[in-house]
Amino acid sequence: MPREVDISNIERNFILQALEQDVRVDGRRLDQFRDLDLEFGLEYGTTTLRLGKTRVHVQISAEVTKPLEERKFEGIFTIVTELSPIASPAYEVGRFTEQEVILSRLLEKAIRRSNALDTESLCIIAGAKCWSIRADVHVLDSDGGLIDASCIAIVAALRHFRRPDVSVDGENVTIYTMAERVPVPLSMMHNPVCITFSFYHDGETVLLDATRSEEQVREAEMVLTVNDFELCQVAKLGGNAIDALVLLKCTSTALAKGKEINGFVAKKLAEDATKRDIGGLIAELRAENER
Amino acid sequence: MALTEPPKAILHTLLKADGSATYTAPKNGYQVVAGVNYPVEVPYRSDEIPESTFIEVNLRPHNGVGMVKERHMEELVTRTLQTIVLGDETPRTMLQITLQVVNVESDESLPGGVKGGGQGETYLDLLASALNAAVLGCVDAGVQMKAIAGAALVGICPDGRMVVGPSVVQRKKCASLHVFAFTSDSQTVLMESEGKFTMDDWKQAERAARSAVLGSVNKQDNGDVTMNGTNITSGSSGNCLLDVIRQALEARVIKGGNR
Repeated sequence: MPREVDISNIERNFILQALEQDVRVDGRRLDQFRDLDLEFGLEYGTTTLRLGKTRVHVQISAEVTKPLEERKFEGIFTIVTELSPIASPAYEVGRFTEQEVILSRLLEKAIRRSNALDTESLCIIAGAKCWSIRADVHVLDSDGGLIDASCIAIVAALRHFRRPDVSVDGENVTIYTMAERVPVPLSMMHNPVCITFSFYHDGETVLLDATRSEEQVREAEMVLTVNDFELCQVAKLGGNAIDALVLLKCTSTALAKGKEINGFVAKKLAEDATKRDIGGLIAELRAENER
Repeated sequence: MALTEPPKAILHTLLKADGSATYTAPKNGYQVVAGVNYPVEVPYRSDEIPESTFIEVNLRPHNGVGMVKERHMEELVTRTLQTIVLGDETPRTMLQITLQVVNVESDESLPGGVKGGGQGETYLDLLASALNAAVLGCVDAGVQMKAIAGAALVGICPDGRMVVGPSVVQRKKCASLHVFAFTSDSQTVLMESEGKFTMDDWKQAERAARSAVLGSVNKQDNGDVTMNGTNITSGSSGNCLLDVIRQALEARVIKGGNR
């Protein structure tokens, strides 16, 4: 069975000793993210995010289905994360690794269960027809920070995505093609950002955005999800105990970082919108305009 | 008939995989990222081949999970690669190829977001791109091969016109679709057809695909092709698929040499 290469003792000690002096192997500050880059595809909802050497591709798609029996007034939103051998030969097709389960559950908790996407706005006819939005997360290169990268990429892709416009006339539903009517953006309630903190030396050293090798030597990790205003989610899955004061400090760091990242995503989205807005016609074609 | 717009190929687009490539079909069509791990241990002993390399291909659609159609394409790509890869160089190991579709061409006249690639629809359009991406990935990973292979998609319009690498709208109008793959020594290694066509149509499509893949190769007497870059830009063959692969490799090698 191909396995992920375990970090050698020499490298482990080197990273830990450097961290004792507040030095990271790649020269970053302790609370510095790697270079973030966001690319949008030609399609709406196609996003590629690079966080250092980590690369995540997200594709959003929409289709009309029947809503769930117990939730007649809501649309469906699913996040699919499947790690493939493209990122590392250790990921096998059809076999869930622990990392994969943690990744998908955390994303589910941070984005879906925090109601980032307003599922009620996806309802077309209560109990009969609704939109089903699906986010496929493809990890192309994994060098640590998968949770942070995937979360930013999904939220950016959701904000980039446009679903076809629909009109309801009694029982009849008309779905307009992209050529007939300008597609409509999804209604987002808030923009969650996951920030992973890694702890070393009994919580004395706290790192943001650890690389794969830094992840391998950490004593504990904690994932905080924040939006522009508040903390949405805390996940601390095992590892050493963390002092309450450290946690509070992490929260304020996360809030500041979250704002910074959301600002970056908004800037990239605006750049993409101007690129698409050939001749300044988009404002005229808006679905909200009077016909 | 050469390709009107050549496809794009870039080698080594990923960092973790042993070899990787990004292939973009002409006219903003399919974009496939290939990641190749070679040679790796075979996960199940029963798959191990004592005298050859076990080839595993995973094709992952851009949305949804792979089903029957993807499995079928994986099988076709695997079998084509088996004919060109020198498996006995690395016996008892695995050549693992993951093909990730990252972009599809959408049909704006259809309602709904990203369309195409449904289980009921044709698989031929993606097959050519998948095979080309797989071969490029193998080239980058240093897989030892007898020859390079390339595939082309040819559509035949109802009026009998041949379209090499048809766009999504053109594909819909085509009476039949064909995929042919040839090795660099002009052997046919894959042929798949769909739709209604006559034997003459098929032969014509084969010729069209052959020139799209191989071009009019200026082979030297010893069978080698000059790689100094000058005769590619000035030559008449210009933009056939093998030239694209050659250029991608040159770009990779020269970039590597400067570092």
